[in-house]
Amino acid sequence: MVDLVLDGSSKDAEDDALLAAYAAGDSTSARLLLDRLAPTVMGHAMRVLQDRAEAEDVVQEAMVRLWKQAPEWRYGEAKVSTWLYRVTANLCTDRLRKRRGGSVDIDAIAEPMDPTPGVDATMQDLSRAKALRSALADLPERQAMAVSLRHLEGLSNPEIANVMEIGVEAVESLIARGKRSLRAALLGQKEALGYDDA
Amino acid sequence: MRDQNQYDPSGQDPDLDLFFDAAVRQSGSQTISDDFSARLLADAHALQPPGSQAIQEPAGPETLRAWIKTSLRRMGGWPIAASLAAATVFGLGVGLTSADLLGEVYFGSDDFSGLSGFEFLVEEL
Repeated sequence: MVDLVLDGSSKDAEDDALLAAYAAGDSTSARLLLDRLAPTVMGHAMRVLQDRAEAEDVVQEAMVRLWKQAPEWRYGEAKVSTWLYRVTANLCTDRLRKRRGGSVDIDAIAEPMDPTPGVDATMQDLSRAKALRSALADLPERQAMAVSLRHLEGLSNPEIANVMEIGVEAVESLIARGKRSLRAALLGQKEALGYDDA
Repeated sequence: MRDQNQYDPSGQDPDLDLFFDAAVRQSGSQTISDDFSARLLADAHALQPPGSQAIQEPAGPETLRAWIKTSLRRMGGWPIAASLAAATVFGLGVGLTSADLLGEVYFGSDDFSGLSGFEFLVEEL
């Protein structure tokens, strides 16, 4: 698979080339870009919003903004993937703010689809994931975003700094404070969540 | 068991990692449905800059060079092309040189009365 043999800079260069081709009118580059980028940002939107319809709306809006930006894209100044992450993350934050304004109960959010039903470990995963979502929802937005990007999306601290448009030290601080709060919130549930079986 | 309030600045936190790993496994990799993919693609095509055409081969020196190479190959290569160029130069030279000079060079005389085709020229002169 291409992703396995390309380093990050090669993938970024390919994203740039595909976006340039799209802006030049190439009809196949849009699909290739979607195949490369949409699943990743969809994963982030799903993890944050826990609602497929809302996540699809966010991803669609983010992609529309990318297509509109394509003719004026400043190549070499920003990575397409990072830019798209930033737009998606901000759109997710907007959605969460609206939800909080409407005081949505975190327990009312539907459970994600379980790809391997019927396994005890899966039930434990479900409980842990739900507890984590609940704890993340109680964090300040910036802390929750930084922790999610680092530990759920697997981005590096410099990448998170680009997405959030802050310095790396600020990212480290947000993650540290966020994880400290998460520990405090989750430790109290360790027995119920099978915390001691690591 | 380690201190529950201890935070490891290296980022290693096995207790919390259990939760992160569980959340990642639960959401997994998000597949894009065919319907959603079609919607995204429709947006992309609708927003593609108007008037743009499919990507074309770059014009300029590269295209000219390719055309020259193809032409040479079709003519039979460099020797044939050189011969053709020499013949062209010679023909142009003959065409541009005055008749008197040509007569002296090739026939040793500027009298063309015995040569058909040159009579009208001599009469006019």
